[in-house]
Amino acid sequence: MRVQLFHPGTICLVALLLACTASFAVTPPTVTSTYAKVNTPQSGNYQPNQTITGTTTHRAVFDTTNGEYQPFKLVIIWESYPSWAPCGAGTDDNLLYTYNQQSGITVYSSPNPVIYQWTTPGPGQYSYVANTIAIPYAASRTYGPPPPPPPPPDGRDYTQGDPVQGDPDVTQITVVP
Amino acid sequence: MVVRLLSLAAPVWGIVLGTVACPSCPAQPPAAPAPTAEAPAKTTPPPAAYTVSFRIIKIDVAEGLDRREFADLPDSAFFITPESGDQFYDRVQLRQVFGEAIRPGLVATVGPVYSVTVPPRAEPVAIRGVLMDGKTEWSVSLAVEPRSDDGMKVDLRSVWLTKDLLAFETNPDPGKCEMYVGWPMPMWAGSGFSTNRPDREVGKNFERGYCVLVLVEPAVM
Repeated sequence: MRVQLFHPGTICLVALLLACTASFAVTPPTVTSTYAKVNTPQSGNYQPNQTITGTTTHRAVFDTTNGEYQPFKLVIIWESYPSWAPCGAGTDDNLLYTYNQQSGITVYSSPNPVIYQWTTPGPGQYSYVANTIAIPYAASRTYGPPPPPPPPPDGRDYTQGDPVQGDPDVTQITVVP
Repeated sequence: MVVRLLSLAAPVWGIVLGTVACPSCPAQPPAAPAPTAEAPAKTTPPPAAYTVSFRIIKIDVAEGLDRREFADLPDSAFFITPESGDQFYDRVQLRQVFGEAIRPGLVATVGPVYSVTVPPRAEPVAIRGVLMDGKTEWSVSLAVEPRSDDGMKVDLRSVWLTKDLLAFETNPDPGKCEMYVGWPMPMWAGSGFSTNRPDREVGKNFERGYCVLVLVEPAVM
């Protein structure tokens, strides 16, 4: 009986099943780095009800060299807000689709830099925060390139890679009495 | 007994399904049509040079409309493949395909065609431009590497220094994109959304969209 288990045909079938399983494996692109920086306001003292300009820069670098399958979706999400209005800024994102396989694709916030104006609250210690999150995706199978033309984007299935949230950059603000 | 039946049936499965190389499953490569003496196979020589063209299409919301009405657009809405090389050159059709056809109220601005002609396997050739401020520069470097005997399947090697133009750029080591000559494709497409930005209405807003179409053709001049 044991010999029959290792019949060459059985091995052939098992190898085929393994090959089929392997063909469905998806390798998403990877995130090489993320970056968030508060340019202004700089740490220091400010007056109550003073208008300050929050200027932040955000970017993430992706590597699609070994990604399977195409196209890839590269997402950068950023936040720029003062601690007295943590929900005020919400989030912005920039999504980039590409068929390109490249070791360094840098996606920036748009606009770059991000600029918001705020009015300082009453006296106290506050901070200004910049955050960047990057998420890579690969198509779950190859869609295109033509010919024939790939199917419409609606309904395509994507596989998410490992998201990366960089360390936030923070400046300290003191609103004096 | 079941195992025995399975093992006996396995060679049949191997024949029905098999593409796996093993002693009991000999590889069966597809038979290639052999040229006959009467009709020798004609091979088309590969292009001696390629013209690589690209154009940028930007999509925005028509003036006066609320960006929240477009918050439900799929983020891939602008990742559209033109139907043909002719459509790549048709500004009116592209304006329709990337604007009103996606949703009334979207306005597509179709940029000019930038082209460069390169011999196969040459070093990348750069196209440079400036933004509306007259100062900020961008550049795209392009090269073509044939991947088939007839030269109609190629790898487009490219470098995109478009940080201020499209909010992305690549490193100077050229990337690779598989293309077919004569078939335009969206090499890059982007979109952006926001929620609760201080300078917008509360709620999710559609912010921007764009698509970079690329076309590789045999050089004719």
